[in-house]
Amino acid sequence: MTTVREGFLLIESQAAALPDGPGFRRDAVTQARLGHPVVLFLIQDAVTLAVPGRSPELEAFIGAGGRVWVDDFSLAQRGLENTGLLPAAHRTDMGAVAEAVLDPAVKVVWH
Amino acid sequence: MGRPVPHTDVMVILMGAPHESDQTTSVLRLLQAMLERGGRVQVWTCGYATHLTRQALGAAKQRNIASWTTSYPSTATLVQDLLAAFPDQLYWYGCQFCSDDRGVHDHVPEVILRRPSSFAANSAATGKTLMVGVI
Repeated sequence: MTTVREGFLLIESQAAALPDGPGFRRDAVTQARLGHPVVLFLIQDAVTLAVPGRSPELEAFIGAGGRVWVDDFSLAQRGLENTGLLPAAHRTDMGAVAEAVLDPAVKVVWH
Repeated sequence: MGRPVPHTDVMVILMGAPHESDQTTSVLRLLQAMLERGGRVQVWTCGYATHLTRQALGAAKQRNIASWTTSYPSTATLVQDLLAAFPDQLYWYGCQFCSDDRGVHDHVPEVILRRPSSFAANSAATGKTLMVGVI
């Protein structure tokens, strides 16, 4: 399902390893484990995280009840449109994201 | 008394170097999608993102050797087109300090330059802020 009416929309655009580790994605796991409704939207290079085995944090996030959206456009730009993704990952476009950003009840963070 | 800032649903704060990733494309896609859904949006550019609306960029990018006859609009043109298509929904502000610091004295005329001290007034005139870039 690609709608969100409350909670957090976390937009992850980065896939590279950072000096402090995948802090943003760990924050997403923490929020999900606390019971908050959280959607993690993967865009740009971060769409590669939805490939199975690529991100332990993403699998932990899904296990904690978090929802994952993956940007169709970014997948296509990287030649990944036919690549198998984690079963829980929903391909979507910017329309669903725009509706969530415009919803006053949804808190949005872009990384 | 300062210039009144129209209230918007969302304020997108666009910072950093705009071409180090697909960030500019992503933000323009999000803006268009929000505007098409009736959203009212303001963009505040800081740092090197102020370069996006330079007149020196021209109307179109240089020709693509792989697609010689295709015209690719510059970011300045894309912003102008969005502003023209959604005149009562989209406002584009540029940070005066960041523009001066980077020699950006030639914004397209639709861009409203604001001093850093005006940032509070802009952020008070929106329902939500979304910071993109740098962090």
